[in-house]
Amino acid sequence: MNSQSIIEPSVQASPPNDRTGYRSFSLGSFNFTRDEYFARISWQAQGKQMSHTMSADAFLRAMMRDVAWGFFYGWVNFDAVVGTRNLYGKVELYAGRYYGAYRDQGLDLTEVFETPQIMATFKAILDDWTNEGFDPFAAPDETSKSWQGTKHGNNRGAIDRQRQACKRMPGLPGDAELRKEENGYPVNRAFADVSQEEPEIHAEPGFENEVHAFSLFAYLSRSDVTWNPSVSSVCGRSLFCPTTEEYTLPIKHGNDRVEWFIQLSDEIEWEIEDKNTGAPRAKVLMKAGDVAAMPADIRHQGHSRKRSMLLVWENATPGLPEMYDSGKLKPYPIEF
Amino acid sequence: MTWHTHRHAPAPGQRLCALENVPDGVCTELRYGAGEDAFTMLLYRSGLAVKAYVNCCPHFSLPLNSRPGEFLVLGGGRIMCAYHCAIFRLRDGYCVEGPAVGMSLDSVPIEIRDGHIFMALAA
Repeated sequence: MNSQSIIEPSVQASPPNDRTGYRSFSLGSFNFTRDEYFARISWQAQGKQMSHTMSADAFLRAMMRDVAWGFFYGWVNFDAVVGTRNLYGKVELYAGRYYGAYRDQGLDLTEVFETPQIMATFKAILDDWTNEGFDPFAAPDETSKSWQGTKHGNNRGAIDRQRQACKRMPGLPGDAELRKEENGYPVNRAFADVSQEEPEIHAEPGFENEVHAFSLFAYLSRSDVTWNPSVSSVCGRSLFCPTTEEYTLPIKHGNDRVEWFIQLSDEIEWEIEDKNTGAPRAKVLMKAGDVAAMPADIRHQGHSRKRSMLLVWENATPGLPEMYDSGKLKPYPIEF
Repeated sequence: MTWHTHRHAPAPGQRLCALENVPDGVCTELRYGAGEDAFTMLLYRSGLAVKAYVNCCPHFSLPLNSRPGEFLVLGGGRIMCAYHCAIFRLRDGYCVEGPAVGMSLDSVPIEIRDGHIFMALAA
């Protein structure tokens, strides 16, 4: 038996800026500010004041995923410079660590925070910097440009959405609901041609309550978010996490385990880089029916010119990152 | 499968530990069995009251902690799952923030007798 201390997250925020209306935030040695167009992350290294600028919409889209995914598996690179690494209980926040020009000159910074502390800070930034009408989960064609300009309102209904999960499978009694018009999930404009028919189940006598099925295509056609997988099947540590994708994955995801991708419809173009250096490793154009295993030593970013359906098959076994780090597991699932 | 049928789950009436070994205000992990197949539960003590839950977040069916015995206990009697940051009230196991909102931790019925914690006889 062990014990631990009680964590009291405390968000460090400035008063609203007189001109822009946005607050600035600090977390450890990092500072976050935004103006009409840009988010700026600043830190000190080698006695120098460093800063990195991102378009505010790109920053909010990236931070939205980091928050909604609970820092996800491994590395969430907001871009080539800034990102987080999930240590499961603690989170690293880094700037320049995986960007050669900074790292090689010692101008990078990495700090580790208790997960509740960084999560509370990120949620506060997201809340303050997301204006009314802008949905960081939506494709650009589906949301407004209200991310621009001085602060006006908020969009808590959009940013409080989480990654949907189920205990076993949606539609089972006591489990997550199937998506329907009535519970707020209309068919997305890109999937108007997807059949909404559900499977017929003819169970043998005695098995009536032990067989379940639903149409994954119909379920996905009603997804109201992009690049935000939902759990649609749980079998031990095996999770099916399908998602709909449009435009660009707002982060470069650095895997800490192998992820299997199965392209269910349309196409996604993947850029795959070395996880640590960012050196290009491959470009993969996945078409409907294609399967790929994303290795545990890469980071990837996808582009989908039309909304597409992707099944991400995840292995949620605790301790996997350590098995890859130690070399017990190779970073790829098969050798040819 | 519910926790009741887990082959390593303590039996009704089984003694779990002494109350004095459960620190106040934080979570204590109890493990039965070994490896991936182990059954783990957590105890949360607040004064003389103790709540017990299966150590399994209903979001991804993962343990709430990533390292043995280390839980992210927040002020106000709450706990955060180390994997995806769902926050639960420890007094009733209800998820109040994060990806498991509306779900609850599985409660384990226990009894305190003569300074010891037991599985409830009706468990």
